Amino acid sequence: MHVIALFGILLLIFWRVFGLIISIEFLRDLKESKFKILIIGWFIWILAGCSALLSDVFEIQILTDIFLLINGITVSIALLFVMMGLFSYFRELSGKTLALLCIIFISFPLFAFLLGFYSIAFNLSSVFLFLIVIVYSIVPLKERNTFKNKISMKSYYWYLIVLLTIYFYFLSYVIFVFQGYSFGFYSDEFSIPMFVNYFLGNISTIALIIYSIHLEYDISKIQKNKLIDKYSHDLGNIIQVISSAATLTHMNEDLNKEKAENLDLIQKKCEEAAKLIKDIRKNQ
Amino acid sequence: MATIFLIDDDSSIITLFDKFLTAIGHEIVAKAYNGEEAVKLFHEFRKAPDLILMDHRMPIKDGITAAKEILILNNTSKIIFLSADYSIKDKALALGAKYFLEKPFKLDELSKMIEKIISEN
Repeated sequence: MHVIALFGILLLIFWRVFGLIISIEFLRDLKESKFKILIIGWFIWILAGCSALLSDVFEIQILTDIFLLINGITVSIALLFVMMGLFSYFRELSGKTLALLCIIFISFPLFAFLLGFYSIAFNLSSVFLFLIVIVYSIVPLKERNTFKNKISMKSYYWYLIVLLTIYFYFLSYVIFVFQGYSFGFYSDEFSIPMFVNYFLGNISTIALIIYSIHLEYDISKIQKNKLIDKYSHDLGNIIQVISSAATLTHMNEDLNKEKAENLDLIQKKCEEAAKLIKDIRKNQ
Repeated sequence: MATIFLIDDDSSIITLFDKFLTAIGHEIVAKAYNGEEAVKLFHEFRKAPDLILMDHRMPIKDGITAAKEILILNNTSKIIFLSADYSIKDKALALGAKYFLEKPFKLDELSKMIEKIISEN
């Protein structure tokens, strides 16, 4: 394996570990189950990187091919989990669909591999990978108004950057494969396609991580606003009751001076509390 | 004097508004504790009330949905939203509510608003 390929894979593993750590942090902070899916995705993606490295360790060809097969399958499953995690707040994928897709992603390349069609087996995983990206780019763009309402503009732009980098990556991959370069570009000799492949792979992974950080910020902001909304609403109702009860009592003409002054104090404090609630809502 | 239909899921608020509005000379013709009950009661009115005081965040059916359905039944209904959900103000006014009072408010503000609507008539 050429040093560029080796360095490219190691760097990819580094970004994936980074993505995994961020997802674990998100899960701890936000308690959103979608981050469990992201954690699984990043973890499988790290395994994919390791299998790519292992494919070059052994001298025996069949072991190299097995690790390449594992690499292809794990990359497609990892991307499915990561994309599903990132988009689950927008469109949920059922557990059954996920299980079915995983079975397809594993069985089809495995079947082709067992029949001896190695090249088809490796490239099938790339086809699945490409299909995931197409689905996760068409659906949000088709319903972009709903999608944009759910996230901030910054996140939306990063989502477009992610798509752009992944499409560039795939486009270059397809062109190079048709030029005769093999899956993974794990050649011993340096080539421009090898460099482009790992460069774009790393860039798209970094873009994906930045996008997920923006999403985390959006989700925490939504959670914060929901809390403000809930508590200001409930507190507003409580103050309404106290203030209204004080007003009604004040309407009683038999009140002595001291009781009337106490009621005035309650009403004054209710007005201050009402102003505070309105200020909190404004600063949301 | 106006005939008023009170809708709020908080029974304390219903009780207090009832006492206050009665004390200043209005008549509470009905009370509902959620949107669905409000629409159902509105169906049964022989004569529509002069005013409907509507909360928004209620169980079963919210105020906006209930107001929409009431306005379909009688598009001249005068609805005042009394809600702690300021975010629905524009939506409420756009669908045809007369006014929006953000909770918590002073009861004086409510009585002035009612007087204003009565005088407009």
